[in-house]
Amino acid sequence: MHIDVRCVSATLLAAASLTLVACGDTKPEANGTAAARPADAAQLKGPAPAKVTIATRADIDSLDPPLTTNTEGDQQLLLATYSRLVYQTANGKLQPLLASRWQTRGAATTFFIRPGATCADGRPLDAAAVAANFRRMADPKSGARSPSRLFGPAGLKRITVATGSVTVELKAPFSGMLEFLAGVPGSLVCPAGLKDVKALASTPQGTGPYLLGEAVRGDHYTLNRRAGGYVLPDGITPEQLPKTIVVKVSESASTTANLLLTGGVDIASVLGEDHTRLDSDTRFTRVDGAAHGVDGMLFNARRGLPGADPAVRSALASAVDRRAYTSAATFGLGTPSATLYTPNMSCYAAGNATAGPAFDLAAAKAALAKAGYGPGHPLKLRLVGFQSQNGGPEYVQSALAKLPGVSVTLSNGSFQQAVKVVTETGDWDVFLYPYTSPESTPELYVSQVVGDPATSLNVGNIQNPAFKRAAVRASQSEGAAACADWQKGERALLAAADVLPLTQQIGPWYGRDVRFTGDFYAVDPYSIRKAGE
Amino acid sequence: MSAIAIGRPLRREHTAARFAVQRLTRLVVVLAMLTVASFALIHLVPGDPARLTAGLNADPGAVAQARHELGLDRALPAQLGDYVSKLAHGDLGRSFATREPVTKVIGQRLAPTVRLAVGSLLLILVLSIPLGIWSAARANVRGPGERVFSLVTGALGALPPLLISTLLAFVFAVELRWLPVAGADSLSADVLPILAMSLGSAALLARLVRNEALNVLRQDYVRTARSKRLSQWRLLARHVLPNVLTAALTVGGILFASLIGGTVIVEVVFARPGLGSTLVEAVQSKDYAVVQGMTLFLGLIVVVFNALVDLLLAVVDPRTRAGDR
Repeated sequence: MHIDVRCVSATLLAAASLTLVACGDTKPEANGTAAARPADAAQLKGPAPAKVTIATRADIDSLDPPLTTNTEGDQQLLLATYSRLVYQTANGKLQPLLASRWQTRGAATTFFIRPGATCADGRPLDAAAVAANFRRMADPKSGARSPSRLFGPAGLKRITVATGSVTVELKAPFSGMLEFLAGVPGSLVCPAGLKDVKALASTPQGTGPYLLGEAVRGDHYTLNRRAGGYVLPDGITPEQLPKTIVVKVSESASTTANLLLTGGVDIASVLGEDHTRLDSDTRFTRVDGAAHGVDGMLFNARRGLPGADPAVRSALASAVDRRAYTSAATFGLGTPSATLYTPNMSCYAAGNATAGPAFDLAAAKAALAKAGYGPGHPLKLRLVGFQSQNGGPEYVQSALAKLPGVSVTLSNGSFQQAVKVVTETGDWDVFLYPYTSPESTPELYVSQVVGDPATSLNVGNIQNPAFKRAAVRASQSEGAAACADWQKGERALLAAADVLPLTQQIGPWYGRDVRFTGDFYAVDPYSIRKAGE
Repeated sequence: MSAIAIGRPLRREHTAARFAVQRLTRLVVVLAMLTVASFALIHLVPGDPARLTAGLNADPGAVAQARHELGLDRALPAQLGDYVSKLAHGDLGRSFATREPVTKVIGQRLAPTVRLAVGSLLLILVLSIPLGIWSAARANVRGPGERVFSLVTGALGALPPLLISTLLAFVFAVELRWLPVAGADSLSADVLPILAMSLGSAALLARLVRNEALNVLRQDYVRTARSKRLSQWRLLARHVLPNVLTAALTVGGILFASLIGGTVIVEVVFARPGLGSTLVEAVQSKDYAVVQGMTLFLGLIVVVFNALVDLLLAVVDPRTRAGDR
């Protein structure tokens, strides 16, 4: 079967980068540095250091918020130079930022704009400027990458501007909008920037606390704190922001670790075996930035293939131990996950961990025999993984091959090669899929498990009406009601063994003489404090 | 007699001019082929380049916009004509990701890369030529020097650049703290990358120079010179060095071109900006305008340097023109 979708999205690439860890032996974690869950920025007391240097794993791509591909470098700079209507704490709580409050009625949300935020040219970021931003985010001609992820599948209906407020009316209610607005895609551009959008790719025009100073592509970017004219999240004062932040590009984990050890950078995320060099050094504070979503095992459920049979999917899923996979794929940096939504995502439900097949080799053998496969009726599987998943694909290959009558051929090349196989040729049965995203809502799964395989990311042809119904209801409701539907949808996916969650990637951040918080991709610029204060 | 005396220089000049014209013609043809190849690049990418550029999750409108910006909604001959016309004006297009002119992207990364390439080439030549000649001169002298030369150059030549870079960084930056771990903002930051780029190539070139020097030393005219008690230093300087230079220059020219575009590993290990890493990033982020422009630029460097080396060799050693007659 030919699929029209032949390529890798920025989202998928970003997700894949989660598994870009160096090769080496797995070693037990040293005791030098105790890992900490990220704390909310407001909980970190004391002043900031005058200057801090943060290493980023990837150089910037575009600094134009709706157009960015969200590399780690993009995110670090955009978080510091732009401000957003809403701020999301490390623990997922939404707080007012440029919007002093908001009010949702049905499909319409009114944001009340806080006065005081000014652009570099002294002009205020008023309701009209915010409305202009929304229009650009929704306009396909602007090149905005995914308006539907911001305004929901139905899209934007109209924007209404009043004195001090902006009302965003959608064609259908969409509960994910606030969280997306709190993230990098919700960064608001100043009027001067909207007049010359081409320059935005390299010259930020925001109302964030920092201005971009020296910029040397591929090397470093200097951010200087503005004298004023920016709005801070609740409980944070200007003294708690460093005067200067230098973002240093360092793609190699070994080099990043060397930079930390020699004082070349103050904060950095180090993946792969190099993290053990830092864990054993008591000078460093470790903060674990966890990915949103999981790496999962996806079955090709197209007609005529073994994965179309739920009994086969369930049997194969029961043969895989997610703890062993995590160890092989992440060098102990990941967390085995039995749910699709991870604890750092909204609507996470620990109870859903029992909804899918559990690791039980004996049960897997019996279930596969019942499904009609065994030594007399062999099952040949084509497994697709990619090299940056380290030993994970090999582990899955050996785990599945333990089932009687099952033989597994593994395709384990580059990520691009893997995507080519699953999207173009359709010649595969099992794919180790990185379901991860900078956004923290269950919405991230929708485009990947619903829809026509020819035109969507649902490359495994998952047909799960229960999830689809629940997702539609969830996106049109809010709060607990929305979460109840998302959780119901998750249970439906797990019960049908459409996807087997395997591991949540963890990116450990290390800081020397500083405290801070961050997610997998970037450090929260509002959270950096001196150590020991 | 006089006719012959006047005719020889004239013929020599004529031959040199013909050689130069042949080389330049070949250069133009290769450049034309390079231009067409770089244009075809975007059309040879598997799948829809507009979809690749906009992203798999992008809405149809964004894909259409990407198609328009890439010029893919026009007829192929019109696209080629537009591409060549822009090239003629020094316009390599704009990065789809950053919207910056590709010439600016190349310009920003060129200086640190050229600094490394020039530094490395100089170090390679300075190390390899004297070392190779010295080793050849001592070929008949019994002692450990020959074995050490073979062992060291063999080992360095076999070590992958990643390993050399990592070892240098670990020893001189992390452990001894003599030099910076990374960066491109000081001369001291250039030392380790230049060493990492040079050591392997210098070792291999030293072995080549040694072989060339040994060949020269076996020639009859060298034996004659020796029999006339010409000192070892004069012999090496007057007879061996010019012959060895031909081989060193040939390899050096090719090396320089490869150093300009082949610095990815060193750039990544020492966290430096440069052309190699930019090309790799552009491929990964599917920024085809940058990939096209960089491919053309790097190809241009290789072609022009090869031509320059050929012309230079023709001046230094006229025998090299023989192959083109």
